[in-house]
Amino acid sequence: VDDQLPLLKGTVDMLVLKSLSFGPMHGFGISQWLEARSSGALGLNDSAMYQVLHRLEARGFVKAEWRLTDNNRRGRYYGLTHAGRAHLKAATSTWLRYSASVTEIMTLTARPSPG
Amino acid sequence: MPRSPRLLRLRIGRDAQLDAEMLEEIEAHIAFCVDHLVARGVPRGAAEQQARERFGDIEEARRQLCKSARRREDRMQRREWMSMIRQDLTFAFRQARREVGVTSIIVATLGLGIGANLVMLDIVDRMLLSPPSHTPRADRVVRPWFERMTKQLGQSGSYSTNWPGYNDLAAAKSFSAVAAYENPREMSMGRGADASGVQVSGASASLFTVLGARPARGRFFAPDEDRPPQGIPVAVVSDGYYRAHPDIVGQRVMVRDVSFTVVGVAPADFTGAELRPVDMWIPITALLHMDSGNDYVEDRQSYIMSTVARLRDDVSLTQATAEASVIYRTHVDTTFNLPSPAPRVVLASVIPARGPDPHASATVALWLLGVAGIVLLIACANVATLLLTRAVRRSQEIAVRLSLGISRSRLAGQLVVESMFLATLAAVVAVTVARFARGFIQVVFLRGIAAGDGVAGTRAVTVVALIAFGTAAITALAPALFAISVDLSNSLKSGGRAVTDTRSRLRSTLAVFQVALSIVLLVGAGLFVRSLHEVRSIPLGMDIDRLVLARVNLPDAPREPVGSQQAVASNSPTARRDAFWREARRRVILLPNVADATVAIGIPFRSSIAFLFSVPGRDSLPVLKSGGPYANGVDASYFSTLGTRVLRGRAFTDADGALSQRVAIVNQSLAAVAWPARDPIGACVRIGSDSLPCATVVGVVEDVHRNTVLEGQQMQYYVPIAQWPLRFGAPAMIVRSRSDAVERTALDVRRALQTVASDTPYPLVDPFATFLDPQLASWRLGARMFSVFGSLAFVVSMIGLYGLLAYSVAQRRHEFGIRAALGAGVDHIVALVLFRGVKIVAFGVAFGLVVAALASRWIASLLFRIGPRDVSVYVTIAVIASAVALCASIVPAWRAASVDPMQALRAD
Repeated sequence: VDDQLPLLKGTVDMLVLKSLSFGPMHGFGISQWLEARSSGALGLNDSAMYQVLHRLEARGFVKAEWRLTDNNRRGRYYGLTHAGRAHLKAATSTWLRYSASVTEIMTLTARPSPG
Repeated sequence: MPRSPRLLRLRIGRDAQLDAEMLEEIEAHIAFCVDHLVARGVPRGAAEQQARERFGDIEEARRQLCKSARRREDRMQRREWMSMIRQDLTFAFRQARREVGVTSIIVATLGLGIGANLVMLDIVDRMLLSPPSHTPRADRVVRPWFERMTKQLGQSGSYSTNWPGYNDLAAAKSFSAVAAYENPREMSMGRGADASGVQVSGASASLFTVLGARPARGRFFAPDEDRPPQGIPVAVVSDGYYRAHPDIVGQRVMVRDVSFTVVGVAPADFTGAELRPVDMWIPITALLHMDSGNDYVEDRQSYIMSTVARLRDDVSLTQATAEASVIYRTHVDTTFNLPSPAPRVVLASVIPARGPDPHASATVALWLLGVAGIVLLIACANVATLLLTRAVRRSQEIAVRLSLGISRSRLAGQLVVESMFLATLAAVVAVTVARFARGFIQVVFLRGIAAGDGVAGTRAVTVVALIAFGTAAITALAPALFAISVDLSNSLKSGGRAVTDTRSRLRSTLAVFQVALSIVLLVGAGLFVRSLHEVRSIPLGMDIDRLVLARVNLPDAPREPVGSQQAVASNSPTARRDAFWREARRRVILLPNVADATVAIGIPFRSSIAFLFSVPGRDSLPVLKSGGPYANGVDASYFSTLGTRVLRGRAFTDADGALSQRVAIVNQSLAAVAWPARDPIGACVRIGSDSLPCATVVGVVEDVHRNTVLEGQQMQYYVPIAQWPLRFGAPAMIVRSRSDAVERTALDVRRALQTVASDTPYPLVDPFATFLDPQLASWRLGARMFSVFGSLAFVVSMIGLYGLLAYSVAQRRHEFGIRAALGAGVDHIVALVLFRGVKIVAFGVAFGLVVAALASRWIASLLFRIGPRDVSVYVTIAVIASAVALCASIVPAWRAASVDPMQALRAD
């Protein structure tokens, strides 16, 4: 837990939406999924994640619903709406272009300085 | 389990539910985590602990989540509200467009009602609530009011004092500054054809300091420019005057016969300590010197200026009052040298209509506000009727929407939004009306009060918004209540035709109420119109409505006594003045609008002079309460110009010159007093001095009023102006207009006078009736006020009556169709509708007359020669109102009669 990276502002929404793009999940599921996909490098405080979820719900990007799990527990499942899907698509392409540019620049510093 | 969307949950109980849901979600999260850990082989107890540790402070998280959720929901609810209102507004707009006629009537009615109130509120605000503009910390500024006991008047007071009195006061330690000012008066500026009249106020340099005003441009005059005896001729012009003459600053202007340099411009709206409009301020010492030379410096007897003072910060009002009273007591003791019990000073508020002698217009403005309020009330009743009528007409639509599931509260809300929408339109109309009406009301009701730029002020806008929405709330109430109580099954079944009795009775009651209120106002109008008529029919001895008075302030020229050598010399000031007036009269009588003109020394209602008069053979004349006898020097055309009847003997002729036999004409009252038993023609009277030869009475004329409309007997006599025995007395000219258009005649006369000589000062030319105006003001004001607002109210109530009948005819088309089909004659159906109208009017008129009879005692003291329950007024108003109301009912009745039975029945 200690070597977790802090999450960059603005990326959380995108990550949560991405996690839901494969199907509805409950909060704990999302947090597990994120942890597993980033090999534990991306950690999201649970309560902060719920804030994000609720905000996304209010903006109409996700829809929540109480359902029973396989082992008969009640859980609040979040799923993408059409708006959410569209938003994810736009956010993904922006992010990819952005991070590519940033990566390119940041790797330049490896060049030896003239002098 | 499906949940309702969070949005539609009511706020009450919402928070608790949110809370529970958050907690449930967090607990589920923990449970999932425990399951996850247990599946990995962690023992359940340890898993439980680990899961909770991992989540952190559950309580805190829940609070945070709830808080942001609540914020979000509030925001969304607001958005929901806005969109609902937007919907309602769109709906209201569509409704308004669909019924342009009704909408315009509603908007116009409310607009007029609100506009009238806006104007009156603004005026009342300026007079009763606000200090003069540009006066910071106005509560520390006071106007000293001097009170003392006099033999003639008893305990009396005034704001007036004189130069020594002002200086005494200025030395008081309680004030940081004291200022003196003279009320503005019209003075001549320039010479000859370019001369104009300006409202000039003399003010001490400290006036601007006391009030705390800053010049908009240039500077105000300084204390060393305002020192006795004559100050420095500098002037400050008002913002309005500056706008009309943008290059005036730095210029020299000729006021009367002194050349002043304009050094500054006062801020907009600045009128000094009072509300009278001023064009120009000059140092008060300069003005006093122009009027009376150096005499004013020592003059303690004339009361010519008012004062205003600013209290020192550490001095209370009581302390200042005490000090000012002591100063005033000394002033009275040294001036009158007779014991006067406790003269005292009241330090009155600088707010115009407060203080011991409130401006009469303030009372008037309050009256107007009250009357305007009644008009608004009528307008409200009318609009409520129209809205209610519309709601009834829409009852089927409402029923359909109700049955489709719209909630009644939502429906009522929609109606409220609709009236708000109408109110907003009405507010726009009201502001427009107010902009135009302000000038009108100013001119008609409140002359002599500077018009402020009040209508645009934030205060006024707030007020109009409050009135408009208050009005909307009131008028929407009835229709909203109606909408809530629509009976679904009945409305749907009857095709919107059924109107329950109570509803139509409510509308009839509102109509009766409107008629009654306007009757009350109309009775008021009638009473004042009758009073005014009574006052105006008092014979004044002159045809005042046809006369114009022209005064020219010629350079000072003491008149030499008759018979002295100078009088004959052609270049003496008197001779020059007489020559001016001779030439002036010659030019004026050539004007097409002028019937005749006369030059005289004493002017009725303006000035009169009394001096020694005796009848040889009688020790003394009885003294009348009005004093006298009063003398006047007039020319040959005086009586014919004024329209004064010569009862016996003759009028003067051109032959009655300075050197011919001395003659006199007496008025009826003097004749009756001095020669009770005989004919005065041929009698000898001594005028001016006992040493002068006898003047022979050659005629008797009817009495001409000397000062007021309501005055008793006045003893007066006339001598030819050429034989006027005194040094003083400046002549003026009275012109008789051929037509009633005296204003135009006055303009023509002024233009003619301006060209008599190139150095003629600005002639002050006014229709004679304007001098009577202040005396007739209360009756005229009452008559105009009640007539204007009463007619407005009556028109509004007639629109209401018409709307009501027209609507009920439309409602009963079906019924009329059946009646017609069953053979009812046209007259029968007409009578049916007319009867309803007549019933409303009869109740309204009767009720209104009773209220008027009860309320009229409040104006009883303002009436002249008629009682507050003058039967003729009540009957006239009742007859006129009923006749008009009948006309308003005939159109709908006729429409009812022309219903085609086939069409009406097929319509369903």
